Amino acid sequence: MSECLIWIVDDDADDIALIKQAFQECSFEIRIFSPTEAKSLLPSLEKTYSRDLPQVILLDINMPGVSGRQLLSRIREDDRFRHIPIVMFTTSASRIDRNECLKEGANCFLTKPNSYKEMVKVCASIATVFCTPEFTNHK
Amino acid sequence: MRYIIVVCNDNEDIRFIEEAFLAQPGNFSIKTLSSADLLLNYLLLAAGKDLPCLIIINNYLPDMDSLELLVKIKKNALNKLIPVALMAGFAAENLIKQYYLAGANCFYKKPLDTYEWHHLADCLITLFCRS
Repeated sequence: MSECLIWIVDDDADDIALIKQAFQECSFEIRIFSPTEAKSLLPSLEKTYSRDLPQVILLDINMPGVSGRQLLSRIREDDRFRHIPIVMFTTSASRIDRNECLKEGANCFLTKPNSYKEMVKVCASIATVFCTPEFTNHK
Repeated sequence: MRYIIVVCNDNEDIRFIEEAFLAQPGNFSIKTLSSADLLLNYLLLAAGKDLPCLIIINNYLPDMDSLELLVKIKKNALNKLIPVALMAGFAAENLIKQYYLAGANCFYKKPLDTYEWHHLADCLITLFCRS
């Protein structure tokens, strides 16, 4: 079993628990880091050794304090982290949100599924595409 | 609505495999192209109407460096939002980083067997062609 470093930035504890559980059903061993506040994402990245940087970051959009789109922009402006794939994982199904996020450099825009079965499928897809073992350790 | 997925690979056998696994039940039309030039021409002609939901490029193409091709695709405002997936048998960490910096939406390892092809095709469609 290979390890995949995924950071989830979401203000909804229930959503985080659900996403964690869904990832655990994948064939990857997932290490999840969930900062307590969205604004702590950048400082947390700065404190992380390059070999431990996430292979993919899941960002919610609507969060108190700082939005996922603001975080996306900040990461893409920072040369140290702008190569890290970012998946916008949100309740929004808005085409405008999708296009804006992709324009700002998100690698993928996904609306959180309504069913747990779909959530597992989406999480398995994220792990498969962004965490291929011995290959995407692009840190 | 019928979604279009474009596959660009110089290897005819791989194009055939990709087409077979991506054309799973659903509204997907698979367009296979054998060179970077053909892909750029296709995008030029499709501009503003039949844009694909996903472009899959082999990291080796004989007529153009795939990194250069990626930059050309993403530089065009009409194509910027089209997800581009790069596929390779092997790649160094630094090269993968360069692809991500150039705007690749994902970079993944070429599958080794039919199960992996099927699973990967399903994953790519889930991530890029369902929203």
